[in-house]
Amino acid sequence: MNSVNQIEIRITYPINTNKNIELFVVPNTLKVYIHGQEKEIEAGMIDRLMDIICKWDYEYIDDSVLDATTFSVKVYTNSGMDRYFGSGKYPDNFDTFLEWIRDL
Amino acid sequence: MSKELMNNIERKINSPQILNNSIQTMIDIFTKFYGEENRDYITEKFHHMILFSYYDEKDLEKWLFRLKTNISDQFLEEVFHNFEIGTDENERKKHTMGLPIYSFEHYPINNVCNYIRIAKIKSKEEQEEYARLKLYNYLKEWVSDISYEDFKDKKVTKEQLDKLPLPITKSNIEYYLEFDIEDVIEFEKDLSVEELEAWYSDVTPSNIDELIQEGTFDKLLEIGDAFQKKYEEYHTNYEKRINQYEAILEKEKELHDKIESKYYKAYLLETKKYLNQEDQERIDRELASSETVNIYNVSLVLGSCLKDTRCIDFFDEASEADLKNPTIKEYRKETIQRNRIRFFQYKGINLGNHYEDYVNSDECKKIWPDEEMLTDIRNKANHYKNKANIEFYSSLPIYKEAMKRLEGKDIMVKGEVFLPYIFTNKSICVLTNMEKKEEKNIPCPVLCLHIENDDTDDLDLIHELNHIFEYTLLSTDENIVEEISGWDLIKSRLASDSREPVDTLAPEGEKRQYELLSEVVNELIAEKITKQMHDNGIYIIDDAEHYQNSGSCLYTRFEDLIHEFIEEYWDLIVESRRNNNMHVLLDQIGKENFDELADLFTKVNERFMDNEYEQLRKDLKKQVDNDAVREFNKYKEKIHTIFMKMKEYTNSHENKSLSS
Repeated sequence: MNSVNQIEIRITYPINTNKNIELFVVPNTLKVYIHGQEKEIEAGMIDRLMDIICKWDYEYIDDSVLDATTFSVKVYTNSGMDRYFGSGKYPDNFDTFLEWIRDL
Repeated sequence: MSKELMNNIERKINSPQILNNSIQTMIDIFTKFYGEENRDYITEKFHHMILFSYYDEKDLEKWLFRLKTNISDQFLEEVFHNFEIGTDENERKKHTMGLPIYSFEHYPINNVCNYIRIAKIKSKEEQEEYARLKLYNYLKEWVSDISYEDFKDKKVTKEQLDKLPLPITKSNIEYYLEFDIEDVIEFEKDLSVEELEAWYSDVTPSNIDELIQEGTFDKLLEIGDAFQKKYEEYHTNYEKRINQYEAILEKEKELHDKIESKYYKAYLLETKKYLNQEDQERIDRELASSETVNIYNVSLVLGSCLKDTRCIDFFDEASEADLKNPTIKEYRKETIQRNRIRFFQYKGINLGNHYEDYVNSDECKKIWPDEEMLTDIRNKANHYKNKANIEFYSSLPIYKEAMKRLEGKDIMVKGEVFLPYIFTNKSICVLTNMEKKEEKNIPCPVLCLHIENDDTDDLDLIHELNHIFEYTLLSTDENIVEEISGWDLIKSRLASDSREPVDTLAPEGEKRQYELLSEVVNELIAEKITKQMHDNGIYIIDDAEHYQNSGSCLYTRFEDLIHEFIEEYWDLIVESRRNNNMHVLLDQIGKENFDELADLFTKVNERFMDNEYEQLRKDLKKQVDNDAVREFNKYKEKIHTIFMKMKEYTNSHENKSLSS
């Protein structure tokens, strides 16, 4: 995944006891930073993340949910940034995405 | 605050009973708004409706998470405040010897202090007694039929152990049962050294006891004791209540996984033909011998579960369009190409990592996945996702309770036909239904209320109740129904055949001509009714003390555009929405004008959906001048023009009445 410089993931979602999930994935160094703590990651995990998010639309918003759970995945490349964002609504494979995070 | 959140959760969980016991209150609320002369009409309507509120395991998980986070923050704040320690994490770590505090439930300081307390006891026998008693006291909270003597003799059954909710404490007790109490103490000692040495590098298993006796960790213990006291408060007020819901959540998650797994296997059996022969045989072998199928290639081509992305998916038309689209970023194209290459390599064609080599290869062209194959796999995944949804939701206690309430009613659309769809799509709506009574078809609309939010559940309820209030049945003939909802005339066939499984994944139908405009008005009416009831101290699901209306809703986001129309014609608008009275409004403003307004309003909503709406909102606030803002302003002007035509029509209508 040479064209990706960094992937920033933020979620306000109850998958563990931390209030928010905050990850930075740096494909070129095969490192991920989880709440500031550095961890190594396999190239396959990064490919897997790309497989999951590349089928997403850029936004999933349900305005009628007033205190929505939100997620944001920002993919930084040399030609700019793509943002995948959701508030109260999620892509079909969102559970798979959460599993990916749990696997870290 | 935490107490209120806890009560709030219990109110949501008990919402089916609360709602069904509050029908008279609902009648009174609507009568107060619409007038005493409408009481009988309202009573008839509301007594015939079916009320159905629900939540699922994800909602429960979210509420419990929020509650525990809140308790944690509150208790941490209170403990540190008593020691005059601020909120800065680094400052707190100085006092807790570097031990992080993730939350009130998960903090190593507790484990370390447990050991310190043991180590401060002089005699070995007393230490062991203390440690054993601590474990016993915890077990006793959940297992009433076990004596201390039995516990000392390790006479604890598996059934008794299974009653323990917390895995960590359960495993401590299991460890004690397998080994000895001194092993448990030794284990806690080793853990404590591990936790402390990051901050206090001199601590070792051989000197920790001495350091404890010297008082090195006394300050830490003081804070730990304060935590312990807070934990007892948590234990008394919250733990049991939370744990019972967490146990329910755990069971529902297990059920969910079991059902997903069952239908994933069924899906594999029907789609394995797209795999290599070897993998087809491996699937057959794994399914025969174990609960799960865990073959890498299978996951790759067909997905690791029903909702997973498959490498096959990257052969679809959308992916093809992305590859040709110059605005799509490289990483997306790389992902599409990488997955396509993986597929061909799986099929035994390895031409390296250069995508173009595969595109130009005749061998690849021969096996290039076509639309038929993609559709077949997609349809089979959806078919089994649907079955999984139906089976899971119909197994939930709240679903069974709803079905029980429908027993004895001769309703046209059976529960098993609409309930799974409602659950899957988290619908808040009113569904048309009929009940046969004395040879007549009586409307019995089903009000479906997904209880999710922390507030405005009352507003959601009132919004749907107002739909029921306004609803007019024109005719029924077998299962064909003609009805008016808001301003729309609807003719539909009710799905009364419960032999066919409902399609939980079916998309929503298209919007009706007046639907969006109608929903705005309905929401505005509901807001007025809700405000009136809350001002009078009446709350049904919402919490009276902590209710907060954020005021934002999908339907009313463009209310400003039609505000002058709403304000000018409010009374006529309200009157026109029931008993087939639309003419009272149209006679005043002109049908042509009203149709034009409805069409334009629908266009604006469709033009500025989701991300475009968000961007527009920001741009309007900052007074940005761009194409989207200019387009929106044009719509605004056109709507104003229509309003002026309505006024002209009203005036000419009034003049005609005066002159005649």
